[in-house]
This record gives sequence, C-alpha cells and structure tokens, in this order.
Amino acid sequence: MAKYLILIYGDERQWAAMSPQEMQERDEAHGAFYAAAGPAVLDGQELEPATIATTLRTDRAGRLTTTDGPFLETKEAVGGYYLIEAADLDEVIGLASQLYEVSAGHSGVEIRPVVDHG
Amino acid sequence: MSAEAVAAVAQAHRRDWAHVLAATARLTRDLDLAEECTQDAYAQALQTWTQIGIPDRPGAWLTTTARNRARDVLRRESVLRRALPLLVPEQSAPGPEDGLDDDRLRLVFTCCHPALSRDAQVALTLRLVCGLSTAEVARAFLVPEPTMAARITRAKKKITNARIPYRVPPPDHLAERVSAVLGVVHLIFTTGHTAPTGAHLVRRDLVDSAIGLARMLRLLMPNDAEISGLLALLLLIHARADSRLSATGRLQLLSEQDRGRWDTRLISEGVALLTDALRRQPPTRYAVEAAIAAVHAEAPTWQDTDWAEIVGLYDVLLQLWPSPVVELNRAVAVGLRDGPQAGLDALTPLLAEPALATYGYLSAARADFLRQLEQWAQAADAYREALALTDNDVERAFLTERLSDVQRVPAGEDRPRGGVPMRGDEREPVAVSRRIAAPAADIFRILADPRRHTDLDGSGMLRGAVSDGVVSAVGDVFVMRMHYPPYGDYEMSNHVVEYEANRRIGWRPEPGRGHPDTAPATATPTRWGHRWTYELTPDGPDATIVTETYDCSEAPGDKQASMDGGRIWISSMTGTLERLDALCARERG
Repeated sequence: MAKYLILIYGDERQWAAMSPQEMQERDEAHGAFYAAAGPAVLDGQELEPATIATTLRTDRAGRLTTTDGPFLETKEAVGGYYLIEAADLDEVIGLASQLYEVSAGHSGVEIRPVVDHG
Repeated sequence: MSAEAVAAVAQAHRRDWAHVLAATARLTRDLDLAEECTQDAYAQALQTWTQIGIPDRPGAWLTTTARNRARDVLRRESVLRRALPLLVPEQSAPGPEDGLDDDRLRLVFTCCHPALSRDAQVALTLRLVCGLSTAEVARAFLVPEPTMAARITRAKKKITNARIPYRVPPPDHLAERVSAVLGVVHLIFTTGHTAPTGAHLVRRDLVDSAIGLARMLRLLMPNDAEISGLLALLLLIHARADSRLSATGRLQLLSEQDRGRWDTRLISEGVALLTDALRRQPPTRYAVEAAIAAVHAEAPTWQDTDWAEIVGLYDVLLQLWPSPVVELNRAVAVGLRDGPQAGLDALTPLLAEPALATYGYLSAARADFLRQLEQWAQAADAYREALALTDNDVERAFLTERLSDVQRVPAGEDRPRGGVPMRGDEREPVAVSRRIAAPAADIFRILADPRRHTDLDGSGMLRGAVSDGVVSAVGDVFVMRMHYPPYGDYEMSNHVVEYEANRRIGWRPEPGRGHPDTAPATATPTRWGHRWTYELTPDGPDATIVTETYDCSEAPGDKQASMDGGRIWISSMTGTLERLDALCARERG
C-alpha cells in the first residue's frame, strides 16, 4: 500500500460565489465520497482561502520575512486535500474521479504520491 | 559470430523482444533491470547460438536467460533493492478474463497508461515493447538523444513512484484503455508513414513497429473489433507503400500511383479483417477509416473510385470522430465527386478553422482545385502556403514542382471558366522556382556578385562583368558585357531596385554602350520596364527555394508581345536555376 495526497485546486472567486444550494450539494458529495472511500481516507480537510494564507521566507540578509498571502499568486489555489492510502495509482484515480471538484468546470484535483521512507 | 546466429537474433529481436522484456519485468518488478537483462540475453544469444546452434524456441531461450540473469542480480543486490520502489504487481484476485493473461499485454497497457503523457507513452512503447534503441526513438521524433533518454527515464520513474500497476486493466476499464493503446499505435504509424521532416518520406522502422504492435494486440485480443479495425487500416494503407514514390523519388499522389504495385496480399488481409470488424459491432473510427482505404484499394483506377461511397463513409466518420481533418478529407472527396468548384466551396468554411491554420494539406488541397479551375495566381499562392507548412523534403519537392507549373502559365490567362477577369487586367510575371540544397546566404553571395553571373547564364548572351565588385544596396549599378548576334557586342547597365541581404535581389536593365537603343538617333536610354528578381526562401537550414521572376508588365505593349509576355525566357530561366544548383553543389563539395 502507498499514500497519495489529493490536492483540490480551483478558482477561489468561483468558490466564494457559490449559492447556498450549490454549497449543500458540494458538502453532500464530499460526504458520499468519504463513505465510499471508507478506510482509504486517512485525512481530509477544506482550507481557508489563499488570501488568508501567511507566507514565510528568508530575505538575502537572512532575516525572516512574513508576507500576507499565498506562496504562489495564481488564479487557482488549493482549497482542500485528502490523504489516501491505496494499492496503486489506478485505485486512487478511481476514487478521486468521484470528487465533486473534478466535475466542476473551474476546478480539478492533483494526485501526488507521498514518498515512502520505509 | 556466425551469420545464421546474427540473422536468428535479429529475427528474435523483432518477434520476441516484447515478450522477453515483459516476462522479465514481472519477475524484477523494475523496468530498468528488465531492460538491462533483456539486452544482456540478446547479446549472449549472439555468442551462444554461434557456438551451440540456434535453439528450437529462441523466444523461450531468451526469456529463460533474461530471467536467470535477473534472478542473479536480485540475489546479489537484494539488500540494496529492498529500499527501492518496485512495480506494483498483479493482485492475487482472479486473473483477467478472456485469456488476457499475457505479459506483453501487461507491458503495453502499462506503457500506454493515461497518467503518462502521450509523448511518454509513445517513447516507452517503442523502447520497451518494440525494442527500438533510445537513439532510434530520438531520431524518429526529432529530439536529441539525451532528451529522449531523459523522457524515457522520467516515464519509468513515474510508473514506479506513482505506482502505475503492471497489469491488464479490469473489464470495466478495458475498452477505454485499449483505445489509448490504439491511439499510440496509430500515432507511431502516421509518424512513420509521412515523416514530418527529413529526407525520407517513410520511416520504415516506425511503420513496421506499428504494424507489429497491432498484429500482437490482434493476436492477444482477437475479439476486439476496434483492434481489428486499426490493423485493417494500417495494412490497407501500407499496401500502397511501394507506389508512393516514383523511380526518381517524386511523391506520387493516389491518383498517379501504379496500382499494379499495390500489395494484394496485404489488401486481402486488410479487407478480411475489416469485414470481420464491421460484422461484430457498430463501426469504430478505425474501421470506417479502413473502409475508406478499402474503397480505394478495390478501385481498379482513380477514375473508377466510388466517390459517393467515400463521401458517405466520411459522413459516418464525422459522427464517430468529429475532427477538422476529417472534414477536410470529406471536402476533398466532395470535390472529386462533384468537381473542383464544389470541392473548393466545401473547403472554404474550413479556412476559418483554427486547428487547420497551420495544416499544409488544406493549402495543398485548395491549390489543387484552384489549379484545376485554372485560377493560376491563387493556386500559386496556395502552393506557396503549403510549402511553408511542410518540412518533409519529398513533399516539398512535389509542391515546388506544382508551384513552378502554375507559375509557368502565361499572363492574362488567370480567369475562371466563366471568363470573368479575376484580378482586373493585372499581368502575372513569369516565375520559375527550384529547391536548391544550399543555405540562402551562399546562394545570395553568388547572385550579388556580377562577376559570377556568366556561370549562371541560361541565355548564352552574357560575356562578363565590366564592374568589379559586389552589389550591396538598392541604387547600385552593375554593367555587364553582352553578345547577341544581331547586335554584336554591347553592354547593359543593371540598376538594383530590390536588395534585402540573403532574401531578395532585383534589377532593371538599361541599354548601355553598343546597344542599338543608345545610337545617337534614338531617345535617351530608358530602363525599358523590365525587371529580374531572385527571391530566396529558406527551407530548413541547408536548403532554399529560389524563385526567379521576370516582370515586363511595365514595358511597352509591343515589346511585351514580342516576348510573349516574358514566356520566351522560361527555358533560359529554368537553365539558370539548374546552373545555380550545380554551382552550389560544386561549392559544397
């Protein structure tokens, strides 16, 4: 078995503009996903928008700088994630393709294998 | 090494490579190691088969040898290897149905997994399943070998680290995964059938690899109609391979091909497969394409082709596989059924199609209909456009010849059949083109040096340059010594009116010393209104399309008439370009 991180990407403005009914549909869809995936889901969370993120770096002089906002300024941002345990990529693709965000036009998911250090 | 052993190893390489590697990969669970052991087994076969003779079952011998070697390596390196990620094996659940338990299928489905890019799928399939070397795969897709090596390494790493399973997909995913594999096979075939660039029209290794893959898939999954359809298509197209080039290497269109050279054995095999594929289920994309190829294969001559049937098949294909390229082919078939004007009308809406904006076949198809409608100037433009869009030398040579043909047509004949003038009274200058295997700069250097013009002269009138020096700008004048029996010796002053380094040079001649027009009784010499221009269009780094134009549209009418609108110069212009070509060839050694 191996672990995979599913990153949910999308246009934050479109997420913010969702109607209460759409939000309810989305929440129900994630509930159904949880139920279907069962013990394969090790963890899964929705994230606050990237505008609320705080980024830390070090400047050339070696001083810590704190910036308000995400590491990368892009239209699409990570809005949530699942940590999944599965036998192989096909199994994860099978699960992830059921996610609500895969079928919404502006969003999608990225599957990243977690490095296994044994 | 005996010749028999070398031949047997080569044959086993073609026939058994995929099987040996796939069976070894199931043991090693590591594609790199499997590849290494497979290569070692073939190397060892050369030695051993020379000494002890060729085994009864070479494939089995190679598989055993490769797997034994893999076992040795695994035993030796087991401690190290335990830390490395491995291929995900088949789960112990019930095996695939329909007898799909074959290592070669596991390998090909893994190489063509949709999580890999199409480039990576093609590269892996050619390297691992077809056994082409990395250098060969790199050459086929025109990338440097290190780039291809990196692409293959990255793809293998993804298979292992993302855990793409080494197995035949389950029944509910089988159809879509077979389609992905067939997409790769089709792409390999089309890349080989008309190589996008280079000196050869066909890349035989790719065509053979694609047909080999399709045959293997058909053997392993005989009930899949889509596979039969694709194999039928490849065989029916490949049956025409020997007639696609003339003895002199010129591209032969389907209409010009010697049908007696078509491979009837491949045609009957293709037709049988197609019949089988069509009987079993609603037609697939490849089966319909194969049906179109079969209509051509069964027509005794181009004129006897059943164009109505072909248009009908394209209509079906558009339903199954909507694509601008299919629409283009349908439009061409409409033109062949209903005449060039209908074809041109059917092509017109496609001009706005962004996907075809850089597709040379659209320009070539328009050019051909325009040529048949005798709209010469527009046909020439369309041929030039098509030339700019292909890098295959054989196709370019064909298009250059066609361009030259339509440019050779005299002035004033650019009218549609109804006789309505197309472009007012505009007279087309006379032009001749030739593709010369030399960089534009080398050709330009010759053209800009009047001292070398005598070497190029196709008219026999040039005697030498009076001026000593090269032309370097508009406004330069160079004087040439001439001889024309009625006049004797005389001179011409050529005024440079066009100059763009390495691209374009043109001049207007003016009668000089000794020319009858400069005799005291005549008016002040004028430049007559004649113009000679050479236009150089690079065709890759090492070749150039040279177009020589003679324009006398500003000359007095009687002068034009006496020269038949400039047509009298065509043969000497053709001669000039031949000499220029020969001169460049000599200079390059």
